Amino acid sequence: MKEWDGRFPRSLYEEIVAHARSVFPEECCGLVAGDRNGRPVRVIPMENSLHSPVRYQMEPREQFQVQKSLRSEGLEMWAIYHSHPVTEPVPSATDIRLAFYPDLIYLLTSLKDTPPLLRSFRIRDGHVEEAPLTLTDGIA
Amino acid sequence: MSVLIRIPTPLRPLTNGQNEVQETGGSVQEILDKLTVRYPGIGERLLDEKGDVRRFINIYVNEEDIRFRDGVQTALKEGDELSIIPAIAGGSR
Ligand SMILES: [Zn+2]
Repeated sequence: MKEWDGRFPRSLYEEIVAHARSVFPEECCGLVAGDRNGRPVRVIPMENSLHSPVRYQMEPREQFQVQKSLRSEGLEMWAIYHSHPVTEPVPSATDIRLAFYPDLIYLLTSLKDTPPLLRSFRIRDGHVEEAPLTLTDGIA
Repeated sequence: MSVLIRIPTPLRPLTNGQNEVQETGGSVQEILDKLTVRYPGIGERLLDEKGDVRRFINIYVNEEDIRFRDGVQTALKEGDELSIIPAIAGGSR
């Protein structure tokens, strides 16, 4: 896993929050792509196939297609994001149980607070560790 | 049949960091058997106790989910690509 200094572009944060708002009260979900240096560069909104306020699941076909196009651009999956529409942006028991990507960052936002918080975590073998995130202006 | 297998990032520690590997086999099942032997630990990540593909593991042959073909019996031909895609899901409840 590449090291990450916690810097996260504000423009990407704004895209994630806009996505969360656009599907409220459902949970939103998506990916953040990273470049070869392990820096976050792009938000990729995905469909929550469950259209639920308390659950999310990506469509495997959409995951497949996004991975293919990222590969052709020399980018990689860097983070998985989702929203908790009205609860704290921390991983739930379900989030932890279904976290199959210990190498990625898990970003959570919540519309509970204004401005919405965005927090980042690593979830490995059922253990959650917060990775402090700092919003930066301009390019990460 | 020589098949290219795309390994997702969480399984790469089990394939010595390789993001794709080659195996030969005539069906998805044969490829899974080869991977299980060659890369210790990968078997239990992909298959449950009964040897079925885990519910949260998706396998694609080229552009298609094997669930919509013949499952692990899906036949492979030379040059096919097999992608392993762990699900991305969660929920506050
Ligand atoms: Zn959640």
